[in-house]
Amino acid sequence: MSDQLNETKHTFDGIEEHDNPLPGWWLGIFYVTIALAVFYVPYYHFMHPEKLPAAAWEAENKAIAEKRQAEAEMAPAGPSLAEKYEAGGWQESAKADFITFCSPCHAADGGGGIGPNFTDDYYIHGGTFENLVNVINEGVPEKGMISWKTSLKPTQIENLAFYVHSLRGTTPATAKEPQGQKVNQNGEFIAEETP
Amino acid sequence: MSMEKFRYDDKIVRQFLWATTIWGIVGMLVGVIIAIQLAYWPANTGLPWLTFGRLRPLHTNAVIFAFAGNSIFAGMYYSTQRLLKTRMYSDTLSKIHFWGWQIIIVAAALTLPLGITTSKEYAELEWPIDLAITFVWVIMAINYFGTIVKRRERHMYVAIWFYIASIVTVAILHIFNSLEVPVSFLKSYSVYAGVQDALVQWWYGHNAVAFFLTTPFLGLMYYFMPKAANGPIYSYRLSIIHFWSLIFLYIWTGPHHLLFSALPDWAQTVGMLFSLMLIAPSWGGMINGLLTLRGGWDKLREDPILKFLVVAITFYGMSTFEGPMLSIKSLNVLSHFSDWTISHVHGGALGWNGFLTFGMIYWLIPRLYKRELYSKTLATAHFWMGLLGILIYMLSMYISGLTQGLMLLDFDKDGYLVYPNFVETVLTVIPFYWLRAFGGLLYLTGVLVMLYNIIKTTAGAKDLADTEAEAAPYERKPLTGKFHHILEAKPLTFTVLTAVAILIGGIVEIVPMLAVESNIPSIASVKPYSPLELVGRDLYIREGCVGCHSQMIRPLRAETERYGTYSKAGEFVYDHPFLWGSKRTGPDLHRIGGKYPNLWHYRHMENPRAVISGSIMPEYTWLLERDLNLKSLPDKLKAMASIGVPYDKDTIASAISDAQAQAKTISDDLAANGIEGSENKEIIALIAYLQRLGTDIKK
Repeated sequence: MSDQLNETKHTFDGIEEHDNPLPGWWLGIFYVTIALAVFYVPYYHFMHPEKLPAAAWEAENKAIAEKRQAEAEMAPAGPSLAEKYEAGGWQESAKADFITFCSPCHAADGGGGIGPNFTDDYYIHGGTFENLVNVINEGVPEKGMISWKTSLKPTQIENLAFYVHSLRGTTPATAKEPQGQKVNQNGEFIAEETP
Repeated sequence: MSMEKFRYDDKIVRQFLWATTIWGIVGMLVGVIIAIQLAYWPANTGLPWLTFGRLRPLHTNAVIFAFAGNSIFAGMYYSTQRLLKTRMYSDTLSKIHFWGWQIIIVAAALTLPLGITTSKEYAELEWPIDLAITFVWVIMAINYFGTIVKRRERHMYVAIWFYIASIVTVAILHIFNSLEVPVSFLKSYSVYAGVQDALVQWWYGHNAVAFFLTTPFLGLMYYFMPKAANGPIYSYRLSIIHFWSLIFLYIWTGPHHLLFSALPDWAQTVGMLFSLMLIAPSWGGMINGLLTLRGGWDKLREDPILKFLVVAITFYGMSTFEGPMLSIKSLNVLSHFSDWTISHVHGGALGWNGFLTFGMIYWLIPRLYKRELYSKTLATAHFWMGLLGILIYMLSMYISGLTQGLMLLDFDKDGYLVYPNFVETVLTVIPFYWLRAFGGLLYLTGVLVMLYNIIKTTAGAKDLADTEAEAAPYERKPLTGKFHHILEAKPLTFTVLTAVAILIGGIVEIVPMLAVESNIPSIASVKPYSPLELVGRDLYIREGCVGCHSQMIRPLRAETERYGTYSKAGEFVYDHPFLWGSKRTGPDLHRIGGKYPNLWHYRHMENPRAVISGSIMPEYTWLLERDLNLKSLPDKLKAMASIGVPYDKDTIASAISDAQAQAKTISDDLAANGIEGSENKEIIALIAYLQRLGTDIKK
């Protein structure tokens, strides 16, 4: 070992200290991290402030919103909600989503709990497919129904509306008392006194 | 030259050694319990004082301040006396320090499970205990600097530098982070609010890691490593460079706990860049420690003490590389709030602090009891159990953090969250929670083996005399040599320079945050909490909700799609203390207000699984049963008013009746949905608080 010794030749409680030079790779790491700091600050804070978190978030959201709008405008007019409902194929996935996302408040069989009962003929915000899709999308914040449009896809939401519609007339284990107004077969309010 | 004879105080070292062993076992046992609670929620037992939220701070405080703390003091008292060739300044002060510290630990162990907490991480203890900590710390400092004054060795060895830096800095950190206004004997509010509180807290919190878990342990390493290896320290000049750069740079890094938060961008950048610059200074200590063994690596095969020390230093090197990597903003997006951070801190705590402590204990016990270690085989078995335990622990948490972190950020090609349901990501990692609990249990079992070993070693020992030593008296002759060599003989100047080095970073970061308004743009619609909401917030603090739920939505699409728009600095100006949290075992709650009906919250607290299938949250049934205590409300509002929350005289005077009125609206709503008799229960205040969260900005 060709260690460089400490010129003081002093020991502390028998502990000897040598005085080897600082390892080059160690100094290298130190210099590189300092240099990085010198470049990082002007790059992000002066040259490209649009890359800082909040600005980057705004830009990303804007890009996605524009893309979705363009796609919606380009998309050919598809079948109506009623046609999709009739076409079927949504039952299985909608049931799974209903159990995961809706059952905590509306019960797994749609009998209601924290939220309203789906098995009766009464609706608070209307029972047409359009009404249902709208409520699921936007929520009813003052009643505690949350908006699902950021967590579920448009097709998932449509399918949930179909599933909710299909629950009408079934018999749940425990049915919550009817809320809202009576609706007709299509889910439109019909003139009648509230229950 | 005549030699002076004197005796070292060995008894105080033995006392601290036993304290670190016993408290270590307690702290780790609590750790295993809370690990099981995360894997299996019924292990929360349904008793308020045994739920995860209340036990987690007990675990962190016990392992940091009781286990690591007593370990530091044991090694510091042993090595300082020998390095300075003198007995401690005062046996009485040593005793006050020892017993005072143990009383503080007992006070922590009693108050935290009772929900008496400030909620600030690693600073949870309430104000009377904060004062006691300050008192005991000052006693220790007087004793320590007194010892330096009456030293016989003129120059201070590098271990002493690190002890001095630790004593000075921890005092400053503790005092400034603990500034709080008392409401009653066991309740206070932080004087800082929101962003400012967060910055001060993480200036403290990260530097508790630095100046409680790193610098004192480097001091221990600089003494016990060359002693155990019987070799010279690699480089004196490396000691100098890495000591000063480490203490100067470390203090700046706190904001890396607040990346993508409402903290201003400039402060976040400072936190990240200084963390990266810290790699080399941290590694300086690793190089000096590991290279002490150069030419003697074969000793590792035989000696369990060296095994512990070398692995400890290796974990130090890994943690101080991983830390800066996690401070890089783009990686932090993934790792923050996840189990990756848990993996990281346990690499430091179990690997570096734990193994260094065990190596030191095995080295010290035979010397302090003047007999051979009972079993080297058992010590070696402890080493392998510990190492395996750490690896299982860290790997399981690393995989868990990575898995959940990636799931939470995952978007499909249409830009929708792949896992919108938070609990799904939690359930995915439950197997790793079991594995982690097993790793922790293995580590704890190793410590129990050590306990058995040292009990066998020390059994029947009595009338142990203090070690006799002799040294030449302190000689006052002109100092020669290089600048730093001379500085090492001037403890006062050295201490002042140390204080200057550690104050700069804190001042540059914190003063602008307190003084410059543009750092926290105000939002006109943000108003103080109503009296009932304030009571609910205190319940949220009492139950330790912040241990699993953040209140900080980062400006990331994955978060704003999931939780709502991101959190702004101006929303927290009345939050004394801030409750941003550091770990998301459950979802963020900053925009929970108005999201669900009151009934949902009621059912959720009664049985989380009634509304969230698969939830691992404990049941909080006692909130539904316990009566609300509104008595102290006027005092709470007065305390808040004294630190700048605009509660006027009328609001304070009518606080109780206002709270009752607000409670009635909530309980009436619950009654309309079939829940009767909830009007004066604690749950009502908690619901009021949750329903308010994050809603002001929408007005």
